[in-house]
This record gives sequence, structure tokens and C-alpha cells, in this order.
Amino acid sequence: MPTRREFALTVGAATLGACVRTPSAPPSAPTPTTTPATPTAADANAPAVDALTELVRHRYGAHLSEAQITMVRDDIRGGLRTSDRLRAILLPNSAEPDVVFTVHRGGDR
Amino acid sequence: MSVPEDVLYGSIRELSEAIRTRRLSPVELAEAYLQRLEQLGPRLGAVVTITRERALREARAAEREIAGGQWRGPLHGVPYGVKDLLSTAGDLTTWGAAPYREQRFDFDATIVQRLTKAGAVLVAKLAMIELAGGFGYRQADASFTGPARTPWNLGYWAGGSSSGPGAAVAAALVPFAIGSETWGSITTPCAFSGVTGLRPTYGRVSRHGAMALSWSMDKLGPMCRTADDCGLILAAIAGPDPLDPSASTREYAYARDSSTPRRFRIGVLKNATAGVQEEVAASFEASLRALAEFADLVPDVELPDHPYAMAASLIIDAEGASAFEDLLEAGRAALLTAPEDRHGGYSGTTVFAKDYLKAIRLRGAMGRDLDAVFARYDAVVSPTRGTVAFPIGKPFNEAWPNVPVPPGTRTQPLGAAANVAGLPGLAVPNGFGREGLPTSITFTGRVFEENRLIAAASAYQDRTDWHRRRPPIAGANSPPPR
Repeated sequence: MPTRREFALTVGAATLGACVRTPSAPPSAPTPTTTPATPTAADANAPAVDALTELVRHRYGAHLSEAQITMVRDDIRGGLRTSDRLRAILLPNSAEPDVVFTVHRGGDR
Repeated sequence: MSVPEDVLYGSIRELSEAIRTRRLSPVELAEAYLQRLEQLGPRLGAVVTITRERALREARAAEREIAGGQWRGPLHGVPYGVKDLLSTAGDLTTWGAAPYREQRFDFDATIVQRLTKAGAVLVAKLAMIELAGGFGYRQADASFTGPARTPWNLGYWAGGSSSGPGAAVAAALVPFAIGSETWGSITTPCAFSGVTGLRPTYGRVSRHGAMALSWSMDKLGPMCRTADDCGLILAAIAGPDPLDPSASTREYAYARDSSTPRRFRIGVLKNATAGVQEEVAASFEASLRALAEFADLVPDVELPDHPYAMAASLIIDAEGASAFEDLLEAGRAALLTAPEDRHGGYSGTTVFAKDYLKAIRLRGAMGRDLDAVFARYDAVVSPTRGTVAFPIGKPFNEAWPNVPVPPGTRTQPLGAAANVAGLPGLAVPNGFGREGLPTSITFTGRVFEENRLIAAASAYQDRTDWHRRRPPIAGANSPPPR
């Protein structure tokens, strides 16, 4: 399994393109020196990062230390960058989620 | 009579023929592997539970049946192990995680039922990264059983998250094992441990009874010695299952093609060796020369431009947070072994539903575009991993600090795309790199075309002997790790 959060954190706004240029599955993790700086994206998300971190604190704070909440904040920041990239890709209304709901009918009486 | 080590390192095809012709006793074979599991398993950190009683019961039954002329097929009497995320009736099923170390189920997973029906003999439940790595582990020591070691060099990791299957097959503690992959968890331990493994098409194999990390990305598959063995195992485990709606009704059959081999068409991923370790690149280039003997190689295959890794990441985060909601809500993630796993699941609870849906809407286009590319080839090849195994005791990002690797290229070039779109992949050993550690090449193919991958990889293994090399741990006389 990859360390996805590291991917999200270290890639940031890195070019999306041919997969050979797209960081993929760890467990290997890029070294810190390879981390692209994306201050603009990070700043834009700061209020959302704060809000979602507070949500985690509210829901799960009893289980987490402050140091762990700080690391969760980093994970959330990375996750939001990922979401930003996906949101930037526009899809037509007809593009359905790749899931199919299956109706259930029990036995007839 | 003891079973010679040469036999224990044999392929399923070889073991099976010896069993069928009654030159090899299933009971003696099971005993021999059980002994190795007991002697070498702890040294490798590869084993959670040895299922001795069940193994001998199944082996005796196989022996009786075969003696009576009832041969069930190529897995009859052949021992195997499973990653400890598969339920087996009455045994511990720990998911590699301390919070579940006392967990038991009262039923066999569908895949175990199918292997039982095929006459295979369950000898062990094998170690794994806790929760299959779903919470973002960054080190080998991320299982309550400790880090699993590759038998090629005990200071290095066996790979994850199917760590035990990788180490156990490599050291001939079992002739085959079942692993799981959500994103790299079969192919990585195959690469780091020097074994052959198949990640089947998503939906090819039922996951009923397996721990769920990501319902839409989890796959189960064989880890063994040869591509041919992968086909034998897949034929036993594939097929629909009313208990797993994702399991495809598409038929699967396997027979090794002994006719005049055709010439394959194999694509080579563009920039496949960019930034990988020098020795990994050298192994890959040598593999291409071997492939060129029986295949037309098409260089510079490019994948359609999609955010594969980001979609995969977001899907697994969201599905994983839901799958382990009870663990997170109860605060029991604090009991996990790797410190980063103790908090790593919480960010997934903040993924917006709309963003998750966006990721799975993008998947449709990814699948269509990738299929258009992969339909042109029997397989597309790339190095399985950009480096050899990571040292135990260091964070992954410090594993190979002196390797000048551009971001992203050192991992798995096709891993994200293949996993998010459910493509099959077959990893086979193709040489050795630093510290005597194995390197690997992966054949990735069109969905439901596992047999093309098996045929191409078998042709490669017919011309090479990397899959027949034995690690230095062979035998029980090696000193214990310090």
C-alpha cells in the first residue's frame, strides 16, 4: 500500500500527466528535498485546513495528542490539494460515478 | 522420509506432478513446509499462525483421495499460506494489527473455500502490514508481528503489505501464498522478496471473507514461483460469488500453451527507467533484450493523461475511513504499531462526498482510455519498483538517500493507473541489485487478459533463471538477525 498522504503532500501542484511523471505508489516516499513548494495553493486552503482540523479535533480529539493533530492537519492539507486537482477537471453531467446501485427484493410471500 | 530442499523450492507444476504420480506424499510435503515455517518463519517475521492441525488433516485427506484414484487437479495436496487478512474458520485473523490480534471468524473466506475444494493444504497465515497499509505507514515496522525480512538479506524489508507471503514464498516456507493488493501490495513484496505474483483484474477473484480496506480497489491474488503457477492458482480461485457483488461472472480457464509459441507484442512504458536505481535499470534493459527474442517490442508507450494517483489516493482515503470507522471512533487506532498509523486514518474522515464522487466519476474515463492503449499489446512492461528493498529500521524516505531520483519515479510507474482502473499485473524477478537484493519487472495488461500476461511472462521465465535462484537463508543454519 502506498503512503498516499505523502504523495499528496509532496506532489502538491506537480504536473499531472503521463504516469511516468506522476508519483504513484509508495511505500517509498519522495525525499523532503523533492517537495515542490506550492504556497499559493496551501494558503488558499488554509481556512478549510483549519476548519477540517477542528472538525477532527471535535470528533476525535479525545483519542489524539496535539502532535498527532498537527500531523492530521498536514494530511488534511495534502488531501485538499488532491481534491483541488480533481475538481479542476470538469466532467459532463452524463459522467456517472463508476458504481451501480443494486436494488434488493426479498422473497415473495 | 524428509523432503529434499530442491523439492521444496519447486514450482506448483513440479510438485503437483510428483504428487499426482505418487512420488511425493502430501503428508510428508506438508510436514516439510510446516517444519520450515516453524524454523525459519520467526527469523523472517513471516508468520502469524501455523495451521498445523488443519494442514495435516487436509494433507491426509489428499493422500487418501489420490491413492484412491481421485485427483482433484494441480493444487491437490499442495500446501499454501494466506495473508492474515483472510478469514479461516476458528483461527486467528489479525489483519496484522494489534487491535485485532485476538479476532476470529467462524467461516473460511471464499478464496480459501475454493482452494480447499481444489485440494490445497493450508499450512499458515502469514504476516502483513497492519490494515494492509491503509493508514499510511512509512516504515517496515508496521505490524504487531514486527517487520518481515526478505530472505535475500535479513537487514532488508520483504515489502508490503503482503509481507509474509513474499518472504515465505521466497524462502520456500510455502510453495505459494495468497496476497492482496489495493495499491502495490502484491507487486511490491514480489519485487523485494524476489518472487512471482499476479494482481488479477479487479473483480476476477471474490473477496468475501477478506479484510476490506477499499471496496472498489481491493484485489486478491497469488504469489508463487512462476507465471505458470499463477495461472494454475487463478484457475482455482477465480469466478463469481454471490457473497461478493464485485466478483465477475466472466469465465476464466488456464492451460499452459504448448503449441508453437506466437510472437508477442509488448509495449515498453515511456521513461520506464527514468530515475530508478542504476541496477534496477540494468536488470530492466537486460529483460528487454530477453523479451526481444520472442516479442516485438514497442517503445515509448505513453499512458493517457489522467490524475490516476490522486484519484486512487482519495478513493482509498475515503473508503478506508469508512471501512475502519469503528476503529477510529473507538480510538483504537492508538494501538497500532507504527506511530504514523495511529493518526493516519483520521484525515480520511474529512473527505467531502462530492470529491469522492468526482474521483469515481473520473474512473470511467480512465478505464476507457487505458483500455484503448492496453488493447494494442499483450503486455506493457516496466520495472516493478524503482529501487531494491528498503533497509529495516529506517523510514522509507531515508531508504536510499543517495540515489538521485526525481520525485515519483522511484516507486511504481504503473501502480496508480493499473490499480485505480483495475488492470492485471504480473511481477517476476529479473535480476539483482544492491546488497544482493532482487529486482523485478511487471507485465501489465488489459482487464481480464491475465492469460496474455502469464504467457508472455512464462516465455520470459523459460529463457531466464532468476525465478529459480535461492536466497542465502536456504537451510536452517544461517545465523539469526541482529
